[in-house]
Amino acid sequence: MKWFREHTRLATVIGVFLSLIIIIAVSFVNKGNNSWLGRKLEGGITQVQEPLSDAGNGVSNGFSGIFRFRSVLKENEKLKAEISKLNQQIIKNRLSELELQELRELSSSLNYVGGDRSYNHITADVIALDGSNWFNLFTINAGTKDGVKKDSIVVGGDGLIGRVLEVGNDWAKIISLIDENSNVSFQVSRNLQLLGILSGDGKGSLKGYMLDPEASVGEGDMLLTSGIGIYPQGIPIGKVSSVTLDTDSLLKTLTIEPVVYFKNIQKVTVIIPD
Amino acid sequence: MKYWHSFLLFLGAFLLQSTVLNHLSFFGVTPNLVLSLVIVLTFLYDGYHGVVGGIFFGLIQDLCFGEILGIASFGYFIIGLSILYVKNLLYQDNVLSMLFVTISSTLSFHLIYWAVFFIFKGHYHFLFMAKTLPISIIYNSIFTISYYLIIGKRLEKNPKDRYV
Repeated sequence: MKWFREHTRLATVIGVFLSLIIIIAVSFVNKGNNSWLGRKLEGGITQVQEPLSDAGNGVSNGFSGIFRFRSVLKENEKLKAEISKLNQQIIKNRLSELELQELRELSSSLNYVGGDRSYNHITADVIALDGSNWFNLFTINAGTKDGVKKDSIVVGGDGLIGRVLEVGNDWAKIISLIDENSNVSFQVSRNLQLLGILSGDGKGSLKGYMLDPEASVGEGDMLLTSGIGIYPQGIPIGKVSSVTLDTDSLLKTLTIEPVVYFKNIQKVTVIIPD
Repeated sequence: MKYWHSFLLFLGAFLLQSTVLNHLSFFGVTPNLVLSLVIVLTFLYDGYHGVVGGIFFGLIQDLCFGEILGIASFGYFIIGLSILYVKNLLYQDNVLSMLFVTISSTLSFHLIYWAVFFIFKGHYHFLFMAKTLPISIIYNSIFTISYYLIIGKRLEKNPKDRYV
């Protein structure tokens, strides 16, 4: 005790140091499970962050609108063209939908047990982004009261963003696909028979490999989720940017450019299984 | 400076950083205001404002955005302690020492963050961290230097009487 009284500063420093290390270790073991206090605190913070983030969005959109009106006009033209294309697509899809319904009826009459799961959708705003510059974790303004659960899938307008890491009453923390060590299985959109597995590469992008080393996959191929695991089928993930054959493991390894630009996400859709 | 003053500064910095400043990001890099405040408050003022605020708001930052709690807090703690030590060796009334402290602190914060993450997840590449470093340093230096020039100098009514 005498030593502590003589070296108060040193003792405090050592105490803080050790407790921080313990906090890191404990939270590493119980990853994704916040305490009651943590959830309350984060709920309170999100209350303040939401209006601030709205204001920031408004200001930055206003400014960029003023300075980039030419590109906005150009974008407008492009979007109009896209709308007409999509309208045609809708007509085609309606036809195949009818076909699908017929096939479903047929499969139920044959007592086929399919993975026919239905999903609910919720749209939410991003209210805060991680400031550490490395990761792409962010908070959205929907939580358990809207039906969001842990491991719900989050998609953007372009494609797959990630999954819900933690959830509170009216907020949820999202971890992006590129920050994850865990694997996602994909299929190639050109030929849905070609399957593979991808994960984040730790450099802000994705890497993966094909299950069949002789699969014909090339640069520019679009990859979709395959429906194996927690991710529902058919969500765009990214485009193949290079293909190499690893001579040691005899696997075709891919580097993948994600379709979503993770640094500028404002609205997301959460997919909740029924 | 009183402790609740520094608390308000840190709170403002944290809220701005996570919401508004993301729109000012350049090549996907957002200025780290909390780190800048740790540097400025520890280097320019007596007491432990920077260290205490850094530990507390580091924990909140991790709570809101981190996967593992305590990493940012740990980083700010180490940075704050080192500045407390180095402060006696540097001449505080010079802008260059402010610049030197900012550059070395940002560099070490990134290294600490990367090292802890490497130990626990073993997944992040060194070059990925190094890529964001130069812009981070520039951003943080802009903040600390302007704080030093605008606010820091006004605190002493007669700066020359300081050592009388």
